[in-house]
Amino acid sequence: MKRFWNKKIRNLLIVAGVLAAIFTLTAALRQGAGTGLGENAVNTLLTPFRSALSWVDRSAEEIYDYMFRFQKLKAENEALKQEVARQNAAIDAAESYRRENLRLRELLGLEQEAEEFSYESAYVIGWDNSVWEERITIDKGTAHGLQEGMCAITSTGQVVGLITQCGVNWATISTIGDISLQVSAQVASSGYSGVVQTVRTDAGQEELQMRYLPQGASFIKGDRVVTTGGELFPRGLLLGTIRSSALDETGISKYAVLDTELEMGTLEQVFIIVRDES
Amino acid sequence: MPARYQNAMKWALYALLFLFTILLQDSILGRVQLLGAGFCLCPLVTAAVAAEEGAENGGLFALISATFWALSGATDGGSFILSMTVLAIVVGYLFRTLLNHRWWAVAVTNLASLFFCLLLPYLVRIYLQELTLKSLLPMLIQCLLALPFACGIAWLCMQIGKVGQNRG
Repeated sequence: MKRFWNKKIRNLLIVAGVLAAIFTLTAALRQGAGTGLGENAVNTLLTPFRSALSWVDRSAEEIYDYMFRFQKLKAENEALKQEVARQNAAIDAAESYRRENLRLRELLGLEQEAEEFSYESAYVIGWDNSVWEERITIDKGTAHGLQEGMCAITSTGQVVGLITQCGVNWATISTIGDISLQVSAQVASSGYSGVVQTVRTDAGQEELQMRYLPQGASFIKGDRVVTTGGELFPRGLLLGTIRSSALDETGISKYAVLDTELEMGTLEQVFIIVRDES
Repeated sequence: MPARYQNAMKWALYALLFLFTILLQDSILGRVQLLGAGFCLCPLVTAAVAAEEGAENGGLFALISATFWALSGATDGGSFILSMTVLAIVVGYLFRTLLNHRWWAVAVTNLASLFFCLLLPYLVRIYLQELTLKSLLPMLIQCLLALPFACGIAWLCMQIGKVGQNRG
């Protein structure tokens, strides 16, 4: 029988062990954020190929939709037009309240607090298929003004997540479905504050929860949960809507299970908030 | 064509196959999940190459490929570098000494390699009490989802291996 163990095999195993230890240690120290030189180089090389393949995938899906889901898309389009008309009416009302607010602030001599944002749009070119983490890769990076810690949202204002790694022409976003991400939040209607994070239940399922709510807090199904604002996430961005609530394992506080309109499988484009405070 | 160029072309084709697999599982299949499990196909390629090229060359290819994949941002990249290299060496040795070189045998060993590559991070997390045994279900589903790809990759690697005659 051919010998299994020789010098070359031994050397391969030693190098593999050392590299594995270096990668594991580096990942543990960085805790999922930060970008190494090697990672930047490899992902910069892979990004054009990922973008090309994603473009082919999107085009194929568009053709499929046109051929087989035309009627459904037409009905969806009509419903969206009506929704837009309703939203426009709400915007007009909100605009008039905003003007009144400005006038009253001037009258009382209060300082204006306003944050102006600009957005950088990016296509999703890669999805992390691991069971442990939920991350996506986009096709823009530091060359487009992005940096780690910037927040990503969808076109409807739903929070997607936070940029945790940023290369020259790529960036990785840890989404709100990732267990490691925690966001300070409040219930829009009642003001109860808590922390939103994805939790793995005893049944092995993952669900988005708002935790550390007061024991006496009460909710209506469908209450919107939004960000409270801070260094990472601007105020008022939608995280989800409340589906149910219960006492947590301590019995002292409550948690609420959230529904989110974020569907990772169909997410094609995100908008990175490039904050410009004024 | 001189043997040296044939050999270089063969390894270039293996590398292209691995690169295409990374792109396929990240950019197209990455958005598809079944009961929390996605597609993990890279270990299939390194095991298939090792079955074709032997323990030493296959192990070296697995080491380089796994390092590249880890640098591209794969979760548990460190664990995959070690497990993919070890399993490639084992698969290469088995096909040189014990197993018949049929595509279905390669596909089965590829799936077994994938199973053991995925098992390691799970065991670590179960040991750290971050998971229970119930959480092994997504891993089993990942292996099932990889079955058709294991057959295709095994067949492709056998065709690429015919470029050049290196069966040393």
